[in-house]
Amino acid sequence: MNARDRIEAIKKSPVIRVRDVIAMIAVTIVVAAIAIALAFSGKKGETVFVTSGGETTSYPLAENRTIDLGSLKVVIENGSVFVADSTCPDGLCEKQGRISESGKTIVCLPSGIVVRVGGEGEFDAVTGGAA
Amino acid sequence: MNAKRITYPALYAVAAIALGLIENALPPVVPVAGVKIGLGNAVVLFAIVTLSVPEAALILTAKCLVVALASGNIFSLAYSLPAGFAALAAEALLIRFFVGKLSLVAVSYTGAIIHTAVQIAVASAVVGVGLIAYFPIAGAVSGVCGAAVGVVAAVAVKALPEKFIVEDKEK
Repeated sequence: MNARDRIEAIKKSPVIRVRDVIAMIAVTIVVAAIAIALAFSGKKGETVFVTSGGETTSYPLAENRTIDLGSLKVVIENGSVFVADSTCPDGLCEKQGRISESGKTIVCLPSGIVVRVGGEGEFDAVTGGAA
Repeated sequence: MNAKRITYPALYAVAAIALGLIENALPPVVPVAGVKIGLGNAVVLFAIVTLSVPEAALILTAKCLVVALASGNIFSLAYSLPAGFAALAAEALLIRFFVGKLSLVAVSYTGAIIHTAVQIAVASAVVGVGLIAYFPIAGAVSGVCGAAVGVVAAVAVKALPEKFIVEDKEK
């Protein structure tokens, strides 16, 4: 099919038809399904890495504990980790909620603290997000 | 070689670059970081229909290079080239098999969504963290923009005067 045929075909058909809307909805559903599948494919992590003042300490995700870092507390509870009792003005670190999947992070910029979940599924989680 | 074959791709490349630069110069119309309307893509889509896929690819490459140079952010090529070519491939295939059956609006919509998906994939690879959570909003906005760009391309093709049609082979 040459350019003239393509141009004629488009000139003859309307700008948008019902079938185009259906096609767009179909594309949306397929893409959304793939995205949801990828988003939930994260592997559960095993280790919590807490970086504070340039030093990183690791803790097992399976053991409940509370790490008091002064400006905030990192709480490991029932296989997930979250930040509590933060003294920073915006409290964004607390709002980042609970994380448990490998590759997920909580960052508190004012205090320079990074909480990261790592573990066996770590590599998969990163490439899974990138695929 | 027909003179039109040389001048038209160049002309369209300039149009795509101009639209890309204008878009960069304007304040962001879309309130989602990293999402642009992609007016220049209307020209690329238009070129797939009225010229050929290789020429559309040249126009796309020229547009990405010049816009990246002009914006002072060469690294943005890492995002714009893979995403642009993925969208171009999808649009070219859809046009190859469904021209006249599916409108350019649906083609452009699909291209825009694929463009955003590839950009987020590249960004995830660069950052090292999956940014897929960002996809629903960015995908939705880019879909709307892509459909609008498709309308522009479709109207442009419909209004294309006879003398602007470049024959594939000289008769």
